[in-house]
Amino acid sequence: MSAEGSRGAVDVIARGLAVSPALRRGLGGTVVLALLGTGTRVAVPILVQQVIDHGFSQGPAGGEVDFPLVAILCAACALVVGISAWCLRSAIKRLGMRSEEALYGLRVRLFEHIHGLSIAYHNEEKKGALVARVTSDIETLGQFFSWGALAWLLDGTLMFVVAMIMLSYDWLLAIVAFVVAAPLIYGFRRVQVRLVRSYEKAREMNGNYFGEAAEFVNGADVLSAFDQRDTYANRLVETMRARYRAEIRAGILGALLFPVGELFSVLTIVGVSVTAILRGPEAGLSLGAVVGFIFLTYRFLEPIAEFTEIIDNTQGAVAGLSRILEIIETPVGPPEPLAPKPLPRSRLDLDFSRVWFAYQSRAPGETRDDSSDPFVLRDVTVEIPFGQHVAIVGSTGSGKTTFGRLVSRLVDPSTGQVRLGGVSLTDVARDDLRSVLTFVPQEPFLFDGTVLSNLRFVDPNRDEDGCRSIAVNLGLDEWLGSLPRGLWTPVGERGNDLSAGERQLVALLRAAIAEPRILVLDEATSAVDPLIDVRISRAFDALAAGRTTIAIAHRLSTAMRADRILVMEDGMVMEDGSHDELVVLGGRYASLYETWVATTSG
Amino acid sequence: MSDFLSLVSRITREHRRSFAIAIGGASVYAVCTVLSAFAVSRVIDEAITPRFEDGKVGPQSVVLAMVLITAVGIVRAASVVTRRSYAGITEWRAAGTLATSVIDRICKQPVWWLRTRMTGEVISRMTIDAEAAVAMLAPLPFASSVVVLLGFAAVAMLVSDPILGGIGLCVIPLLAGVNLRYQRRVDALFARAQEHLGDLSSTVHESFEAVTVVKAFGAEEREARRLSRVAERLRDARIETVRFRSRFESLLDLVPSTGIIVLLLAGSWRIGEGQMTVGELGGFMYLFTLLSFPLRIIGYAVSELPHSRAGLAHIDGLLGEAMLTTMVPDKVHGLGVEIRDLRVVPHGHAEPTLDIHHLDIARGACLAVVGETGSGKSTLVGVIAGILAYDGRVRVGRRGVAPVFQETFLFAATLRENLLLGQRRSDEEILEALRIADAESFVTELVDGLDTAVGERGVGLSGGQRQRVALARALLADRDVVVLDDTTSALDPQTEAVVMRNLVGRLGDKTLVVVTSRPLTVSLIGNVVFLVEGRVFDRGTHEELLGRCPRYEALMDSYETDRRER
Repeated sequence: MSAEGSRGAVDVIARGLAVSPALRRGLGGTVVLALLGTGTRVAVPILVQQVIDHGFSQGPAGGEVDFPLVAILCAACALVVGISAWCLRSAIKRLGMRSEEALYGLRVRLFEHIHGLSIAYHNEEKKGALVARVTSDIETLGQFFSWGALAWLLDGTLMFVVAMIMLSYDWLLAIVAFVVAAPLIYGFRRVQVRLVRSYEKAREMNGNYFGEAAEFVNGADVLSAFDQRDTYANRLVETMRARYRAEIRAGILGALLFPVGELFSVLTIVGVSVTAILRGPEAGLSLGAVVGFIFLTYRFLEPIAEFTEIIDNTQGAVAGLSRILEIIETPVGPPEPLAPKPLPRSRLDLDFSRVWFAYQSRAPGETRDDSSDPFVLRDVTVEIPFGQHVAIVGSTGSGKTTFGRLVSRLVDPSTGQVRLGGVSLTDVARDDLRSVLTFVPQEPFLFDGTVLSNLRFVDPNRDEDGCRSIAVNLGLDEWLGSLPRGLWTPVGERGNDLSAGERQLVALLRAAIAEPRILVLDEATSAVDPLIDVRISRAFDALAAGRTTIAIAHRLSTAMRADRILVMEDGMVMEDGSHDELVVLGGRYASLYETWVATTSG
Repeated sequence: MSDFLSLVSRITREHRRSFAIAIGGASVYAVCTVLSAFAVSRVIDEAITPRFEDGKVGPQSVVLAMVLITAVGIVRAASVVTRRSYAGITEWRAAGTLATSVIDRICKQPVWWLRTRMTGEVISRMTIDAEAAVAMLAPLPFASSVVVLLGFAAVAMLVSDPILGGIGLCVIPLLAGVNLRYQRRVDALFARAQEHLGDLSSTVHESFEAVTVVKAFGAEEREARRLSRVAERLRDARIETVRFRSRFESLLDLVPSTGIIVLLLAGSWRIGEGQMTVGELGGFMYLFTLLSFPLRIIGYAVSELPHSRAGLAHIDGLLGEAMLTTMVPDKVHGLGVEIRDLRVVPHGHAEPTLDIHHLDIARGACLAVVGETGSGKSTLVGVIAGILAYDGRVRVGRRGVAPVFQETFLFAATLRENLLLGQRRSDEEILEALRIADAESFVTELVDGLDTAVGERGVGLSGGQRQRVALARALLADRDVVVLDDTTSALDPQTEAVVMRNLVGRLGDKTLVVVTSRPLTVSLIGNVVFLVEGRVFDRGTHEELLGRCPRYEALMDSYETDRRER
């Protein structure tokens, strides 16, 4: 780690501790317990030294043994070991439990924050990346706490205590041990860096193989139809072999790590023994101290191999933490007003005055934006009286969807105002707005569950009969009856067990259950058969009575039923009027309608 | 035990040599470990003790002791490299052998065999199952050497001092027992935590994908609570694992330390009796220390065994399945499509979803297939394309069928590779096909043009763009029959009309079959077969059917009826 890198790491860790104070709580106690816990490992070499020096009287090859003293020493040592083991256990438990609590807190905080981020942010950021923040990035922290942090704590304290004891026995021997062992750290580090690289390579190959294996199965129809199955299978086997070769290479490199440590521990012991023999008892060394020292040297070298690995583990955790912090430090979407104003109880007229809107930034490569002009809506001024049914039509990218999002306050205007009942939406509390306005998004997302559970998402207190009566009102009871298990029909992951048209019908029912006074529908009806499409349009008519509706329409079957049609182009309202008026006008709408009739007539 | 041996023998069948080298390396390691204890006691007795007890020592014995300890260390290190390298080589090559046999078998089964399986399962067989099956091979050489090591150590200990040896031999099974018990329990705890993590991951995925719905209904707090509950379960499972682990880790430190204290106590008594030297006691304790870690490896190896067994059982299940018979339409020169007595009964169904007695499409002709959702249109496409099993006789033109399926599958490759699928064509030919599919303009506008990476890791194309790429792919294949399964649904009406006119106009002697529900497309094609519940309900031109078939008219005219009724 470079100096700058470690400063960055320290900064990230400090910010992480600020976000998650649970981590810091009781840390001092845990470290003290870990220090005491090293007793299980260091007490025994000290015992060996004491017994050899004081238990055995001087004499060639044994001779007199002060057995009572040896027994007392052993008993004392056993007591120390027992207490230390208890301390060690408490230290591990405390660290583990505290860190799991902290990770839990961090996860919950992330959920809340990510749900609070603006729709614009959600669109730019790939969903998978956001999910990764809450799962795999937090997992790198979790792995760190269950291994890296534990190793820092236990090995760190052990090496410290052992080094102290070694120095207290004989400073020169200790220095010899440290000096001979020093290149070990360097050697380990070298192998480790290459090892990480080759594991990364193996991981990448692994990704390729899994990807191709999935394609081999998911794309089987296409491969078969174009007689490419065998060719692709050969390629797959090649990819697999390349992956296994990479794994083997990484494995061999990993196999070199252990012997490096092994050789160094032998060399260190040789160094220590030779030095001890050269200095001899004249320098105040005792036989017990030298033998105890040899055992201590093993204890000292043991953790080094693990240390080099936990440095990478730690770097990974710091990187994960910094990605998490980046999300947490992103401001949430349209902010709640500090002093919310109540909505009027009476007519909730909607008006846009001089509204301009631009998404902050676009994901690179997603859409090619040649023009430097980022505005999606430009100077839109529209009034929609309460109870009017409005359809918005226009080509892709004309600003229709953004119009709907502004009305629903999923985004705020860059300049200008959107008002509801005369109150600017930025002054309306979120819950107040949601109680009068419902937005049905383009992709009618359903949760894995039943039709009923999806309907009750809106209102958990609504019972089965309540849901069914809404379906009757919309004329969808017959359709509901045609589903295999009615309201209890499972919809599958993302609603995939239903057809696209069926998913939309469920989404419409869901919106109806909210009983909003203003309903904004962003339709997507590309893959439904005409009978279902017409059924949706009729259901929508039933739903619209007594409310303001704003329907963003791709199919003109919806538009022609509306009181008023807004035709949008390049972020501006180009035409505004009823179906009949606009057809007579002979502009953009008239030509759209002409094509529509031509393609849908028998 | 014999079950275990046959499992190992089966997995390593084609990799005996590398497996034997790994076992050999492991055995050398075991011998050297015992020798290194001997070397340590030599260093203490021959070099250090004389120096400290007698005041001086011969340089020869010091050098000899140091050379011995270093040599043993080097051989021991080399044996570890050999064991680990060859264990890895055996493991991954064996996994390769298993995965290759799975891939071969999938290739030999007809493509509709995949429909009887969950795709995730099939992918697992050639990936994680193959790895799980060989997972036990990695720790196995080490584990077997630990058994050898324990044997050696037991003999060495008993020979050097029967009483201390007896004590040591009592502690080792205790330690091994603790390890085995721990491994089994911690695996179960770990697996449970992983399950909760999987739950969390899919719940989070769903919740973030639903973010617009969540915001639309103001359900942010409710969603956060739902996710917290899943996270709570994960946390509790993890904490339970930590509690258990902490107990074991401290026990693992406690047992060997206590063992050494007992050895020291007994050893000093033996020294007092003159039965033992200090060096021998030191070597004894050293050997005991060396043994406590490798014992863990037996725990690992045993815990991998069930995984390996399960992985291999999954793979054997797939390899043992009966081969399905291959039925693809016969290819005959000069033919369009000819269908006789066709019945399709999908896996798990009792009734046929398609039952067509007779349907001919002449060479160079066009046919629209019309029907409500679930009427068997896509099944008909699947049969003609040769990806569905059927009974009866289906014959197609000599150069075969190029289908465009409802869901466009793009491989993670360049646009060019996706269009060609292994064929060779000039860029001009590719652009011509793209032009017919009305895809030329958006492809040439991409920064990398035909070399743009698409699919999973590439540029995201819209539904309409993907459909047009798939259409161009079908045209480039230069087959006698082109089949489109509602593949222009994501296009706006104008673009769709352009594409259909292009297609019909440049057909030549190709036969075109189009599944659609749009009146304009149908009228462009002219000839219609109207399917109801898997049977041909009517056949004729669009106008004829509108005139005589009310059910057809209801479907085709629903928009117009709706307009009239407004």
